[in-house]
Amino acid sequence: MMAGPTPVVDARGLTIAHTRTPVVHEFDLSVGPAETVALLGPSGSGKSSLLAAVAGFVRPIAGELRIGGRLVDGPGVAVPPEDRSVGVVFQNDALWPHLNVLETVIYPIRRRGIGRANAEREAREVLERLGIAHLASRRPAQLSGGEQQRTGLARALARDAVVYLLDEPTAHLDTALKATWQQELADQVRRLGAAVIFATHDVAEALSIADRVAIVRDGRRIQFGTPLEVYERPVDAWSARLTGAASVVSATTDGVLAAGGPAQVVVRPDWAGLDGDLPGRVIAAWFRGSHTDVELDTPFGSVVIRTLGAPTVAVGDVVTWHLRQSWPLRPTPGPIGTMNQYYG
Amino acid sequence: MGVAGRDRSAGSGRVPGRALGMLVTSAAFAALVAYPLARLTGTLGDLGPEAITRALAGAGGRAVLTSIGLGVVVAVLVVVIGTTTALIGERASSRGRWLVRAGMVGPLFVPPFVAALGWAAAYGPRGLTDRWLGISLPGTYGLPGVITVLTVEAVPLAYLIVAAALAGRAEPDLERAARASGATSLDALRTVTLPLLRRPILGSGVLAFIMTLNAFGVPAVLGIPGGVSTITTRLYQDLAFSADPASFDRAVVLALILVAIAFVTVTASDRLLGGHSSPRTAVTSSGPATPGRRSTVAVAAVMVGVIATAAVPFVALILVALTRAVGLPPTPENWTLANFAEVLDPRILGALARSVGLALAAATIVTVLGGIVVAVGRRAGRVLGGVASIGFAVPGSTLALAVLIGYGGALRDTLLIILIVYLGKFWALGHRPIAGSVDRLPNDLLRAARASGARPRDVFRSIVLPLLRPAIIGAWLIVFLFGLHEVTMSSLLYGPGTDTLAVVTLNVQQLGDPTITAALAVALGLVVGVGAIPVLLVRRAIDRPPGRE
Amino acid sequence: MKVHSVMTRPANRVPGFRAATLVAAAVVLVAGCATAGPGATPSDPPASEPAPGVSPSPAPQTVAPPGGTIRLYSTVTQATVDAIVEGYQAVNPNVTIDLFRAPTGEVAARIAAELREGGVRADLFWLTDPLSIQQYDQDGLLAAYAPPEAASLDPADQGATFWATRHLNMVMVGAADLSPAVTDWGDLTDPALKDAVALPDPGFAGSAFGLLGAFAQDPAYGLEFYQRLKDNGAIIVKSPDEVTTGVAEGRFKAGITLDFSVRSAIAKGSPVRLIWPTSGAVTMYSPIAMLQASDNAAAAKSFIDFVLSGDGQAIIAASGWEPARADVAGGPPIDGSQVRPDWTAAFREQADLLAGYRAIFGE
Repeated sequence: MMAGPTPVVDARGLTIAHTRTPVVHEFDLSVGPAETVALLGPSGSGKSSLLAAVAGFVRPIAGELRIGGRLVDGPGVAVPPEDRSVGVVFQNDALWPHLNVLETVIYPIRRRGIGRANAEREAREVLERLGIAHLASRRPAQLSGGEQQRTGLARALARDAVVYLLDEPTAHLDTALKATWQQELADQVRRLGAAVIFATHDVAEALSIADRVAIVRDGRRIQFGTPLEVYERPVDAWSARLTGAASVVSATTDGVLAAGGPAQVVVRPDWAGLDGDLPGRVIAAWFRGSHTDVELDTPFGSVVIRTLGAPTVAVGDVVTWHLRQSWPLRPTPGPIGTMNQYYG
Repeated sequence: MGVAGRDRSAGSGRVPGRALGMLVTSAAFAALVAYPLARLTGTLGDLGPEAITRALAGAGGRAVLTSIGLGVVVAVLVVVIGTTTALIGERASSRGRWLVRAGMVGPLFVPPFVAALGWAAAYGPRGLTDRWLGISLPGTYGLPGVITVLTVEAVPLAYLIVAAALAGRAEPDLERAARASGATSLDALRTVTLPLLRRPILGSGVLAFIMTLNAFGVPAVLGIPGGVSTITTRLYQDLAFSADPASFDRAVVLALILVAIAFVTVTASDRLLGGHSSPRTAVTSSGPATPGRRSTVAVAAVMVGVIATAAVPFVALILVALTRAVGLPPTPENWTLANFAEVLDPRILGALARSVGLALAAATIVTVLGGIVVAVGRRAGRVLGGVASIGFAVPGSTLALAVLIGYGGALRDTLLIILIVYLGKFWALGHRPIAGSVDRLPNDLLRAARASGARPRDVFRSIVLPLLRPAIIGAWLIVFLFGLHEVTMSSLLYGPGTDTLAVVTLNVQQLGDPTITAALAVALGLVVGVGAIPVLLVRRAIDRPPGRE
Repeated sequence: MKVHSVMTRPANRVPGFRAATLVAAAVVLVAGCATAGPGATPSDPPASEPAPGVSPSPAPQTVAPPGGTIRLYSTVTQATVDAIVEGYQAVNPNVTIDLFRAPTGEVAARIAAELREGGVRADLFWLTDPLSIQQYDQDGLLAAYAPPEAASLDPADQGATFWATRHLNMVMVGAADLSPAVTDWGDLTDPALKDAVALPDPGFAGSAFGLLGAFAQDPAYGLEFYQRLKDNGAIIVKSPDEVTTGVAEGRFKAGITLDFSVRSAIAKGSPVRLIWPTSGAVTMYSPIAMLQASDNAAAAKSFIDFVLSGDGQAIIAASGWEPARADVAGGPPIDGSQVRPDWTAAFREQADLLAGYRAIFGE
């Protein structure tokens, strides 16, 4: 799938189990140098387990894992975490209560074999870069949430690794902070030119930050592509709904809309518009400020159409609409989740 | 009676309830603990300084030194073994963790002096290993034996404390962060996990010291025959076996020294460790921080240790109980049930009935006393908890002697005097789980009830009590179990017709027939074991915070 | 979320709780305020019949049968006391007996404690050695009485306030395969038995106390005998039973104990044998006495009478002890001569005895 330079992280057929039942099945993943990959999936889908395996916290029961070209997990090979070139930012920061900020960042630097004086100098540089140098002598209990996060990131960066793992980096932040922190993360890491793998259930986060997105469901990789690919060409209805607002309507096998048709296509809200040759009746209209989402009941299923500005139709109106773009769906294996249309 | 102001109190905001609760508790404390201790101290005052110096000369002084030395040695051993076992158990695979935890829980329910008897039967001279392997542990009847069994008894508690910290303060992610920062497994242990465990480790050491200081059954069974006396056994011998008035004086002096040592230790450790971190013995699920093949071997080693220190002694005890006569090998041709038949003697069944009755009464009354904390609100409840803990902190021997002096005139040789000392001692045991559960009761549940139209009393009855039910049951069961196998205090306070099964066993042991003693000990162990099963079942329910599944 | 399900559960815990507490408290208070529990309940062994050849004892008082409660402090073997009590209550069903049975040291401590607190609460003492009873007599605790059966007792076995009920023979016990052969007391100081001899503790067991008195009085042994035993590594254990057990287990090779103890062990199958000393077993009597302060003198006297009666003595014989009355048969075999020391003389020196013993063996 990827030609070009050797991938920094190369996982083949990884199967991970904590007890008897595997939580990750035969997962393939390759991450190029300076590439950011998102593992996108609902909670419990196995993405945290994948990160744990890459970090070395959990040994896969099958498959091979290479980091920086070197085999770290495979038959007869199990390299411990401290010997892998991996930096980890934990979901709840995992800061050590008994060490202050400076000591926390010095910790990984010392273990790269660097002497005390140089380690302290380098640690201060990292703190400067993240804007928390003034907190050097504070303990975690004396830091705000944001400051704790920066400290956790500083500690990971101090590892000077070839790949960084972030587990749900903005899960516990409220919306205002989410965007700024996402941006900061992306900047800091890209500056190092290192690879990043982050696990998230937040679609917007995955689509905006990642170079490529791996969709994870029940421990399997459903789709792996650029954000645009997974958004515009979802592989099945489930993935379509995961990656954004999606209307699934019936069609013929050639992709022409047909009531009761044998196949299905996905229609994103911005792929359709009001007025056209297709019939519909307005069920609901949500005003979102910059745009209005209108839900229509059509012979092919319900469709959500995004229109600019304030609502121009009312509930119950019989209208017409047109379709600009659609994408045919493979049938989803297994039951589709209870998520119906939702609005990002 | 605005909702905002009364929000803190769990349910009853009415002043009369709180005042009544405080009154009852204060009266109970005064009667059960304060008055007896005051009388005991008063008796010391009557003795005068020469009596005190005389008491500390010779055997008395030796007993004090033995107790302190024993306490230190056991504390160190318990800390090392308990911490190591906790690190192995809590960071093992889930199956290994389950095994180690199960192994740790067992010894908690074996009466200590039954454990001592089993130990001697298994590893002592003429014990199991002596017969079949030709080796016995030197010093079983003596300091080494006492140290070993006391350590085995205390390790599970240290395990619980450290394990709770490993899930809380020293949670696995912190260790993973260290490994991901380049630290090897040992490095992470040294620089991250152990520093964070320092307080719980020291706390468990202090606990082991205090437990050893108060221990009676084990030193009585294994120490006295070897000529080793602790403060508790010296006190017992002075009161129970000596007609010399000087012995009584010495008993009083020793009793107060004992409580002084305990008090000093607890205050000093509180100061050093910074306030009471009441260890949550609820151990939430934690996982292995990182994989390792070594953990399987370590878990196996732990389980071998558990079997050697808990299972083998009990089997040895059963074998001795089955043996026809002393001196015969415990092989099937010498087996008989005659010793157990003697246990079914009406006199002993009477003692069993008294044990059960006392334990029942103590458990019920203590649970009610502990439940008062719910009615008086959280802040007052904390004060009450401290008050109740004093009774628990006072060593059993001291409390028994104090109660004897305080109430012996009117209540000597009655069951009531034994019940009084049980209540004083076990009050804190009943109070803690209930208070802890009340603390964890989310306010929102109570507010929702008020917002649904329930009055405070109704809220108490329909919401608070049902949610507290596991804790209440748990408290009851714990006190019941402790009451069943208690021997330290009842051996000092019993009289004609008021001996409990534990006291009967101790007395028979001192008469010197090991087979009957073993049969009684097995019976006692079984009674307590049967009583322990509900505790294990309820434990899971207690550990869950009320209102959340 | 959970509030709904909680509220629909029946809230019936509290009423049950309260009721249970009240009932439990009431039960305990009632039980506690009654003076102690029911005391000795008779055990199952059937009452024995008088052995043939014994004239049946005269029946007790012809006045109103005794009733009420009597408190008995005894150091006698549990099974024997239980059998006597059962036999007594068969004849005197209206009398309740509160029994405190413990080793001598413990009973002595109890008596001392009660004296300290204002008075002994027992009605009867039934002890195991002739020395401590004389002490209580000297302290003025005992009441004078003339039981009709006293005539059948040896005059040396009684005083104005106490009477022998049975005889205890202190003998030696040895491992079944003991060598060298031990035949008399002095053999216990043989170097071949170094660190392998056990002795009972005079502070704990009355019989050991009596033994101390007997040896001290005998010029052939004296307290020096204890010193020699100590120098040979003799070990003090608590009770005669413990001596027998220790020898059976192989902890010791020989020791001094009661004949009763050895016979019981042999009967069960322990690998020990009874060595009757050639110079004679030290025989002491087990006295019974009544307290001055007893408030149920009638019942106390009737109990004493029963123990000294033919029936009572037969029960004692059947339980394995040598009865004090020579005209009652059925006791254990006497395998040699018996030495009966002068207990009155021994009593005069008892303070020195204990001090001397403690000087040798420590506390």
